[in-house]
Amino acid sequence: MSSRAPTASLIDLIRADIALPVGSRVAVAMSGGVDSSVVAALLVEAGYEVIGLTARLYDVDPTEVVRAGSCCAPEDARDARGVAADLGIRHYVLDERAVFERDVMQPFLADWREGRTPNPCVACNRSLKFDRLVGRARMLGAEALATGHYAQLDRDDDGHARLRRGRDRGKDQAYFLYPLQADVAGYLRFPLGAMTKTEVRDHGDRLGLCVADKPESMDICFVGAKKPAEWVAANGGAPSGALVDLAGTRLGQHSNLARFTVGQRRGLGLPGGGEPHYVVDKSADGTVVLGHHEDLLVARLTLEGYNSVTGSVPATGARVGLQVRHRGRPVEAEVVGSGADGLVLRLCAALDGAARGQAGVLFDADRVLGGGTIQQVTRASERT
Amino acid sequence: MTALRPAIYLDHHASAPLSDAARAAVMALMAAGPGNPSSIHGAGQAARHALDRARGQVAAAVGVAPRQVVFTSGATEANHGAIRGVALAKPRAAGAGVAGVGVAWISAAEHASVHAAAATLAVANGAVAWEIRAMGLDPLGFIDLEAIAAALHAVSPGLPRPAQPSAPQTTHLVSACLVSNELGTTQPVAALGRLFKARDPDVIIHCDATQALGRIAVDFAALGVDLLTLSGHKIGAPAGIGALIVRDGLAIDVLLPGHQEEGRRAGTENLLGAVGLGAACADLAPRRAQIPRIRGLRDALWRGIDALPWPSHRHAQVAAERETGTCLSVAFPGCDASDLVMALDVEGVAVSAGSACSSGTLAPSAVIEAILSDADQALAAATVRFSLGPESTANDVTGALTALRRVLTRVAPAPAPD
Repeated sequence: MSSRAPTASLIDLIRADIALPVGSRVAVAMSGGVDSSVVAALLVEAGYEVIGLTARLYDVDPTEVVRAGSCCAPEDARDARGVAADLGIRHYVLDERAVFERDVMQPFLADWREGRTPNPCVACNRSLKFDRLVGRARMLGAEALATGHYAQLDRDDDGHARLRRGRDRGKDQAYFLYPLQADVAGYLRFPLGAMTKTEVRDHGDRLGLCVADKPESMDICFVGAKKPAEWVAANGGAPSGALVDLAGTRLGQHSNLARFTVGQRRGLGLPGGGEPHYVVDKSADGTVVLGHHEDLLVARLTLEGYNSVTGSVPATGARVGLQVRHRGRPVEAEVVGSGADGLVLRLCAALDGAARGQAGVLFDADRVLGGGTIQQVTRASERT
Repeated sequence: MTALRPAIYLDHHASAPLSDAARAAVMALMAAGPGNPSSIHGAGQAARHALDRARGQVAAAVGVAPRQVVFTSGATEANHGAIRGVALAKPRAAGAGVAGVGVAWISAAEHASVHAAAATLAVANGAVAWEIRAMGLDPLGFIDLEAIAAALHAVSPGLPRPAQPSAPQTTHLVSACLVSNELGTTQPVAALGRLFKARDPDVIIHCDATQALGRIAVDFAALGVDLLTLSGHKIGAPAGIGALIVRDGLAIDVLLPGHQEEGRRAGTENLLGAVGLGAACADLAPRRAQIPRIRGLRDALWRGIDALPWPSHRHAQVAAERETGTCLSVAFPGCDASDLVMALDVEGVAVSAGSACSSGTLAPSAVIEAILSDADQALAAATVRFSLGPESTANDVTGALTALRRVLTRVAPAPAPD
């Protein structure tokens, strides 16, 4: 492999992040993309015994044009294998199709059918990354599992896991990582968390990786070239139903509930003119409730299945930053209760829409405190 | 670059190391310069001589005449050539336009390539639409002759001959390996052939001897078969070369028509492969002389595994004369075999499990599933195959046991306290 030598300081940085003696066995989750390939290469440079793991998650429809920049498809497994061969490391493909189907694809379908807006990346992290891949890495005797996530992970002074946003805010993935639990946090490493995408690509070039110029994977991997709603329609479909206003007046009809998500303004199929309509709610019977922008405002919501990354659930009265969608900005909220149903939050500032099923993640500045699945959204307009 | 090659190679049934004899022959030919065996000039003649010599060596290894040897790209092609070749030839022999003329009896111990070739016969394709009948295995991994005798009697007492000469004649093709790749058990191929031929002398017997050559005696006439498959890379020749042995007078169709191999397999001959296969075939005696030593190592490996504080179940433990002595198939209940294979590889020990899928992942071995009771099916996915060869040493065995001990603490459920 034609590659230029790394700087001594880079190697020191990597070793500090991995925090294991040189020569330790470290598994790397390799998707076949540039990020995880760079992780594997940097760990080899830093002197670790690297084992590449690639999960085979789903089958690709052979009639569909292969999409560049997908993730975890057969083509990507080949790319990962090629990188592993160049690096001279062991590489294994793990058949996780059944688990992915059960833990990610079926819940994705069920959510769309039942009026929620799922977050399959969170489900994949929880099941495939933090459970299955970690388990396999441990089984192989690896002392840590490194991934190409853009998030920073270390420990605070009290020894609790500290998960922070990636330095490259444009690539930050901390939102998707809230299912991280303490025992797994101590085992995972995110060496790219302190790097920018540009730096990572530069490393890819410097290392001569064959995937250095591979396009980004952006969308939901298994839906392929389809839109999620098309994928749902092709896999059994979601209910049809009525478009109604907040008073229950029928405004129109739709054929696929999966085409709608809370906060959506376009593609409602309504005649133009007048004040724009937004989706403010939807339900499993297929009904899509439309309102105006002010009707989106959220008063309170519940986070179901709250997972604490820091090791403790925020106390009642605590003020936190609540982020309800990828690339959304945290909005100040107050913890008003916690119980079997989850953590209840009252919004202290304007939050224009929260979709049930999406991840609600609590931040303290750039540190992830924890998160859960949004349920029981109460709109401000409902409380008057 | 980190060394990927495991220090301990216990996967000889998958592919054996290149033997000294084969390497020397191949290297000498590579140094000799170009030559197409079909060319008239001296370079071509030299190539032709090398090919003829190799063909003679292969023929001698299994007791046939050189004209009966068709070089192929390996055992898979030979299996396809045998099974599909018979099926494609027979309708024409029976008369044009005759459909549904064949029954193929395929044992459950066969390599995937045999099943794949048979599957093509089951698809109606012009005149070819065969019935496929499975020959089951007993719990020790042997083809169940009694069950076949009963089935033969039940479905067609005496395999009836056509009432009139013009009536469609059912062809029976039997395919059985001589040694199971997963278990190392020696199949009763000669007895199986007699069982069929007693009822129908025209039955065609194909035997895949891929895992037998170099481990037990393989004699074409003694086996009483019509077609025999051989492979190079299980006996120290390179991969990519094999042979199909065809009984004199047997009409089979040709998958790749053309002038080479007496019209039976087109394409410029793989001379390097053929010469390697010939050299390996000429060197089988010392290979077979190693079998008692290999069996001793294999038995030591099993004793070591049996003494580990984790449960294990050995498949097909049979008398020495009924197996090759090179194979140890063991289930570790509660373990995932592909996990074990990966974990052992990381510790420097190469073994195998199941059969490779298109996805590059593993499915449980169909052969192991075939010998397990319904209640024990879960053991198939927990089964690992250790296979040894002439290069195996006592250090390999102790090293493998050390690695197993280390790996089972991570992969296996905790041993039950005494």
